[in-house]
Amino acid sequence: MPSGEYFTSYEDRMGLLRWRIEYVAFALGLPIPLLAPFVMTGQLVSVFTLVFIFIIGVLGLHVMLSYAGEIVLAQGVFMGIGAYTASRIINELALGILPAMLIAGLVTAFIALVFGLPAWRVKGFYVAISTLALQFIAIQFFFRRSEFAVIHGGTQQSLPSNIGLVTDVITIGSATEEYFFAFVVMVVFAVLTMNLSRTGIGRMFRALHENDLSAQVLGINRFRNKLMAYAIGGFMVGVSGALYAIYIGFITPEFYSIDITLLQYVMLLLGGMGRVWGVILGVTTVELLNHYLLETLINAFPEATALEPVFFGVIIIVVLIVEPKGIMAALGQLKEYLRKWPYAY
Amino acid sequence: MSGQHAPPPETGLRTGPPIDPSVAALGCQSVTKTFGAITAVDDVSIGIDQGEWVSIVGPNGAGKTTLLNVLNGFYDPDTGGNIYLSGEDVTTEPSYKRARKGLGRTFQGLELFEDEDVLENIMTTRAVKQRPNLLSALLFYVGGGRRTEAENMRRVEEILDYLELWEYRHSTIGSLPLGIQRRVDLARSLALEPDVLLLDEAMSGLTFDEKYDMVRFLADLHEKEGLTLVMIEHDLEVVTDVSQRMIVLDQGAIIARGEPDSVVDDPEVQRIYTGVE
Ligand SMILES: Nc1ncnc2c1ncn2[C@@H]1O[C@H](COP(=O)(O)OP(=O)(O)O)[C@@H](O)[C@H]1O
Ligand SMILES: [Mg+2]
Repeated sequence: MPSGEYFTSYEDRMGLLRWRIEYVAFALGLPIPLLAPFVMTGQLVSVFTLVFIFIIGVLGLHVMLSYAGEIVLAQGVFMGIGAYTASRIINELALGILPAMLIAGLVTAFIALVFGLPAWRVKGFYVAISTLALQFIAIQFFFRRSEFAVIHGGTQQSLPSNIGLVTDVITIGSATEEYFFAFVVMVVFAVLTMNLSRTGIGRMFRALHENDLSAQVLGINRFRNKLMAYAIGGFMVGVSGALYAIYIGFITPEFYSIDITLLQYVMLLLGGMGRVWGVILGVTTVELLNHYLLETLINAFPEATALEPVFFGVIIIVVLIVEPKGIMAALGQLKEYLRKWPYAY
Repeated sequence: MSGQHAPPPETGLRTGPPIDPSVAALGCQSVTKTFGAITAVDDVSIGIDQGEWVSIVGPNGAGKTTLLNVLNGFYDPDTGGNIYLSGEDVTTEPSYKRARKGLGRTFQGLELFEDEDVLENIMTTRAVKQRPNLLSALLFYVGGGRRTEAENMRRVEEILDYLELWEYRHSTIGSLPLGIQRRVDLARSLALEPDVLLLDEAMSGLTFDEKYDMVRFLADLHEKEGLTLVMIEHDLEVVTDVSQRMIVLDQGAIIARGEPDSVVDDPEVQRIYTGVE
């Protein structure tokens, strides 16, 4: 006999919230991020703002990696491109945050697409190599040279502390305002990413990733879809870079080094690849660990300069041993259990 | 004396294709495919008529799968060969375009999306059929995404029903027996609503009952839906039972073609078959 909970209509199956447990989690969880800034310390508010910003970037990485199926190593510079573009739009044109984010996203999408072009080669590490080269050349050379200021607008730039959403209408300035703004943008991108994965485009992406041959027999244009994944992912990373620049209020090439790339991979791996919730969990966990545990450790052992890479290296190894599919998979088992509750099977 | 060396009576088994490839539902003209020193397909011309059921037989390594791969566009033929689909020259078109023009296929090695359930596997094909647009996908509720999704789901359920896959719809591919997996492969290619379906050993590894089911579904599709079928098959009993024409490949070349009953009686064909089995 059927036990627990099952879908009764197509529409049920397609909903963002499909299971009882998801409704409960949503109802209980929603007020938390909305009320949190009023009870958290200023420092924690700022940590969570950063979490939201990184979620957008790692969602972009998730789209590129899971959908185009190739390793991209230019997360740092993609965020940098978003940051420098946004800074110029805000400082020189005074158009405000939303246009800055949009243009930063589009410029980054274009660069990501161009560097995704080697993906037309059937197999290999062409994209990994081309994006790694971009990462080093852009950060070690291009953004550091004043000769290229016409393009990047200056190696180091500051952003105003109060910026309007569009021109100077509705300014975002205080830590709480930044928190809410980043939260809303994050939610928008998380929902868009989920929608993508539930519809035809997501299915085509997944088909290509899972089985290239059958995807083509089913009429899927491999190359076009891969490029689309790079463009969509690149857009999100660019937006994340723009927000990061606004959040810090200052940009310099060192902020966008390969460390960012590696950090985002740790976040993605920890949460569990291939799921939006996994990304959210992974970024949150890594940022909180980074902020509390690592800071304590560094204070305790100030001489240990290699502490950070060792720390994240250990995290990755532990994840790979304990639950290679990440936190999300572990929670998934718990969810399956709760879904069928109170029936044992 | 010389009378004993007269040529064998004209059987038509070694003549060219009965239908001009360039106007056939699916055809190829003078197709050769070499891999280095191996000639996998050797100057093959075939023409398959709308609504026909044609079997391709031949020993392992005869070039049957390679021929399908050339027909559906995975491999380019060596220069000089041409592929036609509904009378149109598609030699230079990539496989995904041929698929969209009505050429479906299944795989000998079952290239299903292993980690997903039956429903998702078939929905993927519908997704392609629908030519999804990015904006409506992102917006989902506001744009037509949700409605399209529901429509697709209904169409997929019809296919599930037709192929008696309903009870397996939420099972992951990996957990299903081979017979069902082959049926899912068939269902998935049907979701594209093809005019011509290429089947690569769709019955290999199946039990007698599973094979019987598969034949029943194919016969239904052929009769009721008018689907054109081109099937690679080892079981000569099945071949002679169901197909209207058969083509025998050996070492890449067509050595006999025609009505199944006369082809299987051909001494040349029997020599190849008894030489192998
Ligand atoms: N991609 C390939 N590269 C090299 N040789 C191949 C390739 N595909 C097939 N062949 C060779 O072509 C010949 C025909 O193979 P195939 O078409 O798979 O035969 P069949 O399907 O009739 O068993 C075999 O000798 C096989 O080794
Ligand atoms: Mg074969």
